[in-house]
Formats: sequence, structure tokens, C-alpha cells
Amino acid sequence: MLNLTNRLFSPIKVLQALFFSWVDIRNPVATTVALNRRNLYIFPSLTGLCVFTLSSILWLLGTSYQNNLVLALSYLLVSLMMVAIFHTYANLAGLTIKVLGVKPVFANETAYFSLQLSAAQHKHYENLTIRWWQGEAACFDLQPGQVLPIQVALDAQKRGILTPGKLLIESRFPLGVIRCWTWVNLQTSAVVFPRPLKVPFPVQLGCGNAGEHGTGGQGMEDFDGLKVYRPGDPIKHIAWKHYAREKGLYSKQYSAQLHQDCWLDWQDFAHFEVEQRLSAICYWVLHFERTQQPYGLIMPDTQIKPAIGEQHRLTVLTLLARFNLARGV
Amino acid sequence: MHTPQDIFQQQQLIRHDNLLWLLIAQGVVILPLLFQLPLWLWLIWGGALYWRYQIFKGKRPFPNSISKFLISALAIVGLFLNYQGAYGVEAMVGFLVFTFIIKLLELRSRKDGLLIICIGFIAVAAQFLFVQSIWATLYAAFSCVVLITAWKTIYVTRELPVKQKLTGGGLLLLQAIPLMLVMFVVMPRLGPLWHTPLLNQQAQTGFSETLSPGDIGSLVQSTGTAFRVTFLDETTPRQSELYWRGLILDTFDGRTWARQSHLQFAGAPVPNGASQSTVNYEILIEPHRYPWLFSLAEPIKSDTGSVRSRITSEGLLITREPLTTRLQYQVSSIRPRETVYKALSKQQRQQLTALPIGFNPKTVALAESWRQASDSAEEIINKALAFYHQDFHYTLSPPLLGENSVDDFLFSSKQGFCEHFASSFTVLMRAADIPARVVVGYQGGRYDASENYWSIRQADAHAWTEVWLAGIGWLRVDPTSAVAPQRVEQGIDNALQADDRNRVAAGQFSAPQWLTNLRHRFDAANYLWSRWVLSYDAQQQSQLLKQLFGGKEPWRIGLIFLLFLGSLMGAYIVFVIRPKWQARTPLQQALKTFDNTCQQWQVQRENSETIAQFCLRLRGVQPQLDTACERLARLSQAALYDQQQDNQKQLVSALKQFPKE
Repeated sequence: MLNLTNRLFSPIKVLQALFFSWVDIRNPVATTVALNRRNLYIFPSLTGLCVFTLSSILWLLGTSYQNNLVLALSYLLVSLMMVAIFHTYANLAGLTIKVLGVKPVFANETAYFSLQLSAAQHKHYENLTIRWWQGEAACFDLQPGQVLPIQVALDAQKRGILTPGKLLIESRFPLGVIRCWTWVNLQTSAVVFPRPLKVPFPVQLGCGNAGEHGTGGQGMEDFDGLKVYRPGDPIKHIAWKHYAREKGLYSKQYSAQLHQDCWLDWQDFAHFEVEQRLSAICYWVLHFERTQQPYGLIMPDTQIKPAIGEQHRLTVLTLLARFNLARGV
Repeated sequence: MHTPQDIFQQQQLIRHDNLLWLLIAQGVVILPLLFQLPLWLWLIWGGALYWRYQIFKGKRPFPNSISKFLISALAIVGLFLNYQGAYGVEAMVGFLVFTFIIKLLELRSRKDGLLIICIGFIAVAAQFLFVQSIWATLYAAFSCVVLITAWKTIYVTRELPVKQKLTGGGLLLLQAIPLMLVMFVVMPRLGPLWHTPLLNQQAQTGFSETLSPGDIGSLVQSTGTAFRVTFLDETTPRQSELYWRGLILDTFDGRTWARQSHLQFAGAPVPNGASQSTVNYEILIEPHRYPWLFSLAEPIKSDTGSVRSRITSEGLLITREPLTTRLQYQVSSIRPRETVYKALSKQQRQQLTALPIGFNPKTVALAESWRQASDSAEEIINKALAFYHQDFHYTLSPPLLGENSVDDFLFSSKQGFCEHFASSFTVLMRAADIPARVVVGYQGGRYDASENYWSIRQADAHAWTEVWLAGIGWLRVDPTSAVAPQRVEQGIDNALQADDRNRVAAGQFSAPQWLTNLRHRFDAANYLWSRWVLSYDAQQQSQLLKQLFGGKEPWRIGLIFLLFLGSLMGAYIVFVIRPKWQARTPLQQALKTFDNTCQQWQVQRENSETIAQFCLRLRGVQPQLDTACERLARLSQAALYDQQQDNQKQLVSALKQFPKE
């Protein structure tokens, strides 16, 4: 009922909703979309309205003074707007948009969706604006036949799966009087990890020393040897002296890393509410990754065995991100 | 490295090349206006440009609101002083140009740029209020190209060479022109919606309301066309009959002729039914800012469109307001003899024979002697004309005359221009008790055979006399023709001596032949321009629409628009979209040819069938094609699996030439 009254009081929103449902029918979700007559919309812009007003003023002037040349000028402006319709349309038609992917982000960060835009042959695309429905706009040009990877930003506000919604691509070239745009439904979504929340480590856990010493505890650990550097190893642990002697890139291994496995248990953070619990676990995941301490995760419905490394981190964080999403995120 | 998001932010601001284009466009647009406006606006423009340059260099900030207010207040006071508070078009255009210039100091964002463009178009329109010639229109078209280019630059982020940018702007203009023309022709025309302030700076042209010796002589030396005439009948009057009457002067103070308030008498001359042959003609007159129009004697009917006018009892065509716009009007005239004859009242007769007392005694005495020796008015007129015929000279540079100007002219200098002859003749007639008046207007004109019109220039200005004869009415007498008959027969070009000719219209008559021809061609072009473009109004529109489409109902006009837009879309589909449908690769084309060739053996390749499969089938039906088929199959496999350019080319040529090997 409340929903209905809201709708009644904002006719623009109703129109927009109607328009979007129409757009959805015409343009189903896809990973590659080519722009053409079926998915491009065109309408005069605010500038166009101003120019039309200017044309009317000139018409009044020309009529009052019975000056045919002023009248002709007034008609020229209208005619320019008509011609601009074709140019503005041609500035978007033939463009192809393809989804490349998106890297996971933490909540409250900005997700950058990678798209690939391909220009038609023999045609320049001037000054196009691209943005997600609720995202920040970006601008680009395309040369004939150019293939341009572009990142379109969207703020990830909460943990979960971020579906960016409709993508807007807009052109006002050449005169700004006509706006041609498209709403594209792209099949892409970003995983949004919980925002890290620094909390004391629950003391019940076996690997308590890691918690007590926190970030400063590395100096106490014993140097245990070198291993070949793998991407993802902390930069702090790189054996720079070794590298300087041109013996290759190695990571220092500390004995602490061989300590007993740590378990991040959902139940241990019981004094927080759900989202904060996830954030706290996320913080400790990052911490253990930094200190190269293997860790496992116990969730109400699943369990991940202790391990360390980029792949493990991703699995754990994704699990956190996806936790309990049935509520309709 | 800028991210696309940064670029978007920067887009909202004016870029440097953008700024430069806006400055150029503004300069191009206001240049012709600055010549019409107070000189100090040049200084303001220069100052604003310099300031904006300093802002660009980062040496000076944008002006704050106090300094903007001060500059504006000063300029408004300046404009007010300049125009003495007159609320005219010039003052408004001056203010427009001023705000246009000062907007430069606020030019930061894209929106400001768009505003500059919009004011630019208004400035182009303002320029049309002052001048509407072909040259002005061409310049305005150029201004539009620059404006559109600057406009487009706001929305193009790429760096492009100047020439390419201008071409882009020009192309946009060219594409817009067809629709503009259609709208110009078919959009409904309205009359003036309200009373508009006039241009007060523009000088009055032509002769004034009084006539003194030397007036016409100096007018003849000014260039310009007074009006142009097209006769609507088969036969046109002879050149010597073309006396274009404008104004009647009937009071004389010894030196200057002026008019009394005769123009108030309404009531057009009424035909007496003696003859039905009227002369119908159409006149396109340039605005001269006086309330009179020109016509041949005697106008009985006129159509001046939206301008209100009437015909006076003296046979003059006058408008209610001074003429400030170019006007096209039609008149029907008949011979003066064919109008109803109305006797003069006693008071009128007294007025028309009045002379200042004590002036020009010799002239009065001469006329008196003629009157006593003659039986009729005609005889006196003939005597007077014979008197002029003796030893008078027709010249543009007569000697100065004293207090009794007519005496001096008739008895000592004997050299004069048409106003001297008309003035002295009228004085002679009045002294002989014959009612007489001076008529000023134009005589003759130049006929342009290619466009079939008469062009009447300021150089054709003329003055003559009309005398009242009992039983006949008003009779035109041109004393100039007694002295220089060629003036009336062949026009002023042939009536003057060589040294005078050089003075007329700044050497217009002494120019070499090709230049004269060129000037005539240009005059004809200007005439066509004025007649078909500048004077295109509701009346012409309904005629044209009737001719072209059979009417001017709204549905018809709507249909024309739809047809036009439809053909535009059609052209777009034919030239832009269809080529894509038809585009085939060379291989597809060759395959099509091959399929057509195979029709002759009644074998049809299925769509799903490969070339190799089909060749096998064809061999079975037509054994004589064995080798050709075998080769084609081989080539098709090679093109498919050994993807080299050569293989494909061979396949294409083999398909096309099949069954030749």
C-alpha cells in the first residue's frame, strides 16, 4: 500500500519504471551487446530545449520586424536540431559492448567493471559517456575499428554480490541538443567482501600468540630459511639482500608460520551481530595472510581447512561474501 | 594518466582550443555590428579579450561580482548617454553586444560556452536588422559556419586540424539548409505581432520634404537604388513617360519649395470612363523613412499588403507611417485625362498662384508681359518653354544664386539642374496667374531585359511642374525637357556633360563597360534577392503554395513536411543502411555467379551443400565437366583448410569462370 502511494506521488518514477520494464523486454541480459535501432533511444536534451526556445525568440523577432532572413535563421536552428538527430544516432550505432570481468572488492570500496568496447569500421565515436545506473560517469572516444578496454566504476556499498544493474551509454555529439542513449543489461556481477573490522582476537583460540602480538609480532619469530618467491607473498618478507646479489627473488620463512593452524570460528565472534562478525573474520583473514599464518574457517554450514595463499584467501572471503544471501541481496 | 572519470569531470569545463574557437566565433559575429554601434565598444571588446587572455595565462583571476557590476553599470550609463535615453533597436543591440563581450570574462564551463553560441545566433539576427543584402547574408552564412564549428568543438574532445573542423561545421550547415528552405517556404507567415521600436540611426534617403536649388543635384550624386518596378502588362510605357511622382510642393518662400497640408485630402482620382486601359505595375521600394510611395499619374488602385496606405486627391500614394522596411506594392494607374475633372475652389486657386511679395521682380514682370500678349494658358506655357530652349544649360554644377534666386537663374546664370528649371517655371506660371505646383520624384529608370524590370536609382531623381488648365485639369510640364530632351528620352546618363558624369554616383557612368555590366548583373541579382527572398510574405506564399501544391491548408503543409522527412529517411536507408545488406564478400559473390552458371544444367546447389559435395554430384550428372569439377573441389578444400590469400583468390576466379579451367 505504501508502495502504491509512493508511486502515485512521483509520476516521473512511474514513467521511469515503465520505461525500464519496456527496456528489459526489448533487451534481455547478455554478455555482448551491439548498439542499433532496437536498443538506442533518442530525445531532445535540455540544451535542445534551450536552442528551441532561442529559435522561437528569433521567430518572434523576425515576425515582428517582418524580416525574412531572421526567420530563416530561426528555421536554420530547428533544422540543425533535426540534422543533429542523425549525427547523434550515428555516434552510437554500431558500437559493441562486451563484458570482460570484474575483480572482487571490499564493501565501501569501488568496484571497477572491465568492459570491452569495439568501434565499427570507418567511423569515429566522439565523446561518449558511460556509467552504471547509479555509478559515476566516464568519458571516452573511439577510433574507427578500435577495441577499447574500459573500467566503469561503481561503489560497492554492502557485502554480497554486486549486480551493477543497467549500463548507460550516452552521446550528445555534435551539438548537445539531442541526447541518444542506451540502457544495456549486462551479465556481470562483482563479489563484495565484507569490510574489514579490527577487533581483538577471541582468546579461546589455539593460536593465541598471533593475536597477542598482532601486527607487531613478526620480529619475535625465528628466521627459518628461504623459499622461492610466489606472487602473493608479503613484500616485507622478500629477501632483498639476496635479490641485490642477483641470486633471485626469495621470501624469508619464519618459524611462526609453521605454528599450529588457526581456526576462525563463526561461533567465537558471537558477541557481534552478523555483518560485524563477517567483517571481523574478514579482518583476521587479511591479518593471517599478512603474517603468512595458515588459517581455517568454520561457518555454521561449511568448513574450510586451514591453508594459506591467494587462492585460499579468495575462497574464504567469497564464502564470507556469499554468506546468508537468501535475504535478497 | 587520466582515468575516464577524470576526463568526464574536465569535460564540464571549457578546454583551451574550445575557448579559442569561441573567441573567434564571437569576433566574426560581432564585427559587422561593431561598425553600427558606438566606437567605445571596440575598446571594451579589446579589453575583455586581453583580460580573458590574462586569465588563460593565469596572471589574473576571473573578475569578482563587484567589478562585474561596476563594468556593467558603466556600460549601461555609456549606452544611455550615447543614445540619449532613446529606447531604440540600436540601444538594445548595443546592450546585447556588450553582454556578449562581457560574458567572455565568465567563460569557464561548457554551459557558458553554449550561452556564447546562443547569443552569437541572436547577434547574427541583429545584424540582419541593419543590412539584408546578399553580401550580408553570405557573411552571416560564414558566421554560422564558425559558430557551428565552435559549438561542435564543445562536444568533440579529439584534436583536429582547423580545416577539418571548419569542414565539419560547414557540412552540418549544408545538411541543415534543405529543411530550412522547406520551412522557409511553407511555414505560415504572420503580420507584425506588435509595434516594434525602429532603427533610428539609419539615415533617410531620397529627397526631403522641401526643395531648394542644389538639392536634387546632390541627391543625384548619391549611389543606391530607390526602387524597382515590374510592369504586369504586355505593353510598358515609354521611358519618357515614366514620371514617378512622389511628393507635391506648393508653397514658395522665394528660395525653397515646401508642401502644405494637402496630403490630408483623401479620395483617389476617379476614372471618368473614357478609357479602360490601366497600367498595372509592381514596385519594390527600399525603405527611405518617409511616408510616401511612388506611382505614375494617376493611381486609382493600390495594394500595399500589411502596410497601411491611401491615395490622396492629388494622385499621390502615401503611407500612414514612415517606410522603415522594404515594401512590395502594386498600383494601377490611368492617364490623368481619364479621371473625373474637379474644378479648383477659389481658395485652392489662390494658394496655387501665391508667390512671396517683393521677390524676383524681373521674373514676375516677364510673366506679366507674356500674360498680356497671350490669349490662352497654353500659349504662355509655350512661350516659357521657348524661352528655356534659347540658351539655357543643363548642368550639375550651376553657379550660386543670390537672394532673388529665380531672377538670377533666368536672367544671368542660365545654368541649372532640373530643380532650377522646375522651380523657375512654376514661379513663371504662378506670376502669369496659372495655378502651378512642383512635383518631385524620379524620371525614367534603367531596364533590365534579363529579369524584365526597371531599376530606378537615386541618380534618376527629378523635379518637374504641373499646371492647372481650365477644362483639362492638371497637366504635366517638364521644362528640363525643353533644355535637355535627352534627359527624358534616354535618361540622365546621356544628358550630362563628361565632367558632370564623373560626379554622378562616384563615377558610376564613366566606369569601363565590363564593370558596368557586372554592376548591372549584380543589381539584377539584388533585385531577385529582394523580390523573392526578402519580400516573400503571406501573399506570395499562398500564390506559390497554390502553384506548387494546390493550396495552403494545414493538412497540405503537414503532408509536405511528412513527405520531405520521409524522403530524408528513405535517402538515409538507401545510402547508409542498405549498403550493409548488400555487402557481400568476394567469395559470396563468386558463389552466386557459380550457382547461376549451374542453372543451365538444371542442377541446383542446396544451401547446406559444400562446394566439394556439389561438384561430386555435378560430375555424376554432367560427365563432361569432370576435370573442372575435380579442380573446383580441390580448390575449395584448399581455400578452407590451407587458409592462404592465394587459395581463396584462385577459388573465387575458378567459381566465376566455371566451367572454363
